[in-house]
Amino acid sequence: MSEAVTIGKTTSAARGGKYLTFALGPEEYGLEILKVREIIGYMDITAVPRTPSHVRGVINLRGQVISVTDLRRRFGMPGIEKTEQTCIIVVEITSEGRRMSMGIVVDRVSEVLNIPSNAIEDAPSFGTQLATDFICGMGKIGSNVKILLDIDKVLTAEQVTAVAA
Amino acid sequence: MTHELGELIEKCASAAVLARPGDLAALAQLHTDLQSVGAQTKDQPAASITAGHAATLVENLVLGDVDDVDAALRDIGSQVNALQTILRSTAPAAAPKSPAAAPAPQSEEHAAPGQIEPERQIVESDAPLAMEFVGEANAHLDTAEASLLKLEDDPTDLNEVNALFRAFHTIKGVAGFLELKQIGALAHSTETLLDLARKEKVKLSGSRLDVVLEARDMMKQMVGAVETAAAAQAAPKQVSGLTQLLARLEKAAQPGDAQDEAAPARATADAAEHDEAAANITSGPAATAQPGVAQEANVKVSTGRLDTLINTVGELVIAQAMVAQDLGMIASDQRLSRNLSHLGKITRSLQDLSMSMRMVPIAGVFQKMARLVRDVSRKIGKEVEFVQIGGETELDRNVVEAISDPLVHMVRNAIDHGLEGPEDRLKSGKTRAGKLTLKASHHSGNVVIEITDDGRGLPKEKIVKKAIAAGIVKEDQVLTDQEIFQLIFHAGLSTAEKLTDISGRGVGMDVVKKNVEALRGRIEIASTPGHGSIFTVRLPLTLAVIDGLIVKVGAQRYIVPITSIEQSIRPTAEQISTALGRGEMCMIREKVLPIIRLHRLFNVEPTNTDPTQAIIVIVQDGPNRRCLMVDELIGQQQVVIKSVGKEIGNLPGIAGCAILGDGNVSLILDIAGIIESVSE
Repeated sequence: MSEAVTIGKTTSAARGGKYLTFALGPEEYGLEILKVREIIGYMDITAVPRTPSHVRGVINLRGQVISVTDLRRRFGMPGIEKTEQTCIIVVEITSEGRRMSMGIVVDRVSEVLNIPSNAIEDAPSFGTQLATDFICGMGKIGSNVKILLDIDKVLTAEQVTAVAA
Repeated sequence: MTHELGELIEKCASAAVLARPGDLAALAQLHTDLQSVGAQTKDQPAASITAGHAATLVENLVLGDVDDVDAALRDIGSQVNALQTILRSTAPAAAPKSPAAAPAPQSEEHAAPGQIEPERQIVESDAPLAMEFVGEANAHLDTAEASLLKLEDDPTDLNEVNALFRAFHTIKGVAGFLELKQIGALAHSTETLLDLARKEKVKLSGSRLDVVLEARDMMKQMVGAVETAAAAQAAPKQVSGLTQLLARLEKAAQPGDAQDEAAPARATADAAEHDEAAANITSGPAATAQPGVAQEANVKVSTGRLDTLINTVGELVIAQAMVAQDLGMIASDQRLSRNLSHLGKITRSLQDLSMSMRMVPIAGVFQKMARLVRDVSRKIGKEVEFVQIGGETELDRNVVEAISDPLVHMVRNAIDHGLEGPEDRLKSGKTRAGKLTLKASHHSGNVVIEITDDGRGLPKEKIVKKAIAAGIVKEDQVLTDQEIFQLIFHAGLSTAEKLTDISGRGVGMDVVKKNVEALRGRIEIASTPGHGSIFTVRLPLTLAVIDGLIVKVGAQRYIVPITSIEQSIRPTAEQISTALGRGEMCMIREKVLPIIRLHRLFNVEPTNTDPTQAIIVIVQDGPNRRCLMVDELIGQQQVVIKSVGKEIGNLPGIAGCAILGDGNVSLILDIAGIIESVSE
């Protein structure tokens, strides 16, 4: 872990700020608040054939058709039945210079937290089991750890779970 | 009033209108001119004093001695106007005009065509202005082209000459402001020639008309170069041949040209008309509207905003429908239902209105064709009478843009292959000039464009012979007329006996067909030997909306474009057969067609796996027909096409998606893509 801290030290100062936190099972994640456009309740998603399995399909967001990614499937976690708390976070990301809106399905939205940069550590190295490119840091709130996501990378990178070498 | 004095006043009047506070050279020239007017009018104190006063105003402006430059410019303008009025009232009525007395326009700023500097780089701060100029200039150049083509038929139409003059005059003004020297020079030279034509000193016909047309085309190129340059913030690309063209314009502006000897009968036009034309110009850009034609005020809106508006209104329609449904269930209050239906009406008219905002008349494309007809017919030495009908017909601007190329091909073909030369026509008892008609109209939700020629008609035997030679049809095949005509859309089949650079390379018609089909349109041909042909293009009004059949597979709904559907049936067990235990087929009217199970293709859980319990939709893409197996037909509906989202990308078999009445998204099937992906 100490190794990872030294690698990313230069950027850690800029990471403090407001984060929207949400849960996938027992794990807590954080999203930079400026990337979040809105949070909507779960709605019927139109499946689109021949897309990667984590792409749940498309929804109608007030006349705009946006694609929805299941974050559990994206991270290779087992899927669960939707609950009352399941929702879609609409984020605005930049891909190849274009801004676009995408939805992500999460188990539950928690709160907006102000995480100071001194409470953010770099992602630990998990070796080849798991790529950590899309994690921009670990926020420590009391004894809890929030995994802070680089959502642009999560939604545009080809593969998140690294293939074991 | 002497003629020179009149010229001088005219010059002052236009200089006063065009004057900009920073343009010291022009102001200085104006000052000099005003002073010389003053000197020449010593015998008329009123005029002399007014001229002197105007000169002083200009002087103050040049010296920076005024607080409000705009007001000062206005003052100068009104002084010059007053001067004109005074001199006109004292001038002897209908002063004889001698063409020889007109001085060659050499004293003016762009006199030496060889020395025009290349255009400078367009800096960032100027780019928005330059873009605005490009839009404006293009509009003016289109008007100019239309006027030129009209003048070709009637060179004496002064209204058109004035319209032309105004177009170049305005471009010159803005180009000067943006310091686009070359455009300014070209506009200036053209304007000089047009000015003479306007004053009926030269007749705008024949080679003069050609040279103005050339100037218009070059200007169009230059404006295009400015557009590219403004985007890249570079210097506009040089256009070759400018100096030569300027020289020719100048030559054309020389009166007493051989072709000018037949002086127009209207050379002694009454002074009133002349003055009216001058007044039109001196009142500046505000007077660009055609006299007698009421023009609506326009606002420029970006297409992005327009699309957002249309989307939002679409949502409003859906939301309104949902509210109406919800309230209809819980309450049966009369007032409520009345108000709801009122709301419904307003929403629908709002939708119609927003859709209509994207519609533009097809006249622009027709005008392009008029020019094409002129150029092509001259090139190949045929006489063509071109008739346009229904230019006001409106369709989606995307369709208008996309239809231009196919029309170019068809019009060219009609002139090159369809119409005969003048001698041949006379021999077969027709008029010397061939008649080509371009007609647009609305017909049952479609736009129909007809290209009619009264030429020789399609040579059926020749087409069949060629098709046999090319191996497209078999020798003993029996073909209907329609089938034969459709052969000309086949790649590599051209019926022209000699290859010209205009058409006849055998590419073209197949591209035409592809383009039209890409617009979800189709082409029909009717032809009578010796009497000509009619090519009919049917297009949807807009690319944004399609008629679709909504089908259900399991829980998913899909939209099949109506244009791809032949029929829908529930097959009987006898119709279904298999090959090698897997390949399923269905017998439809003596033809065996493969079955595509949509649920398998898209990997969704179906309600029925037995074809006899399901529905078979027979779809076609050109000659390919397939049976699409779905669970249920829900109904036919007009839907607004949306893209599935760039992040998902282009998916084979899916043309886009649409939002249905309940607010859910449904995918639109791309039948051609499905057939292709199954054949792989």
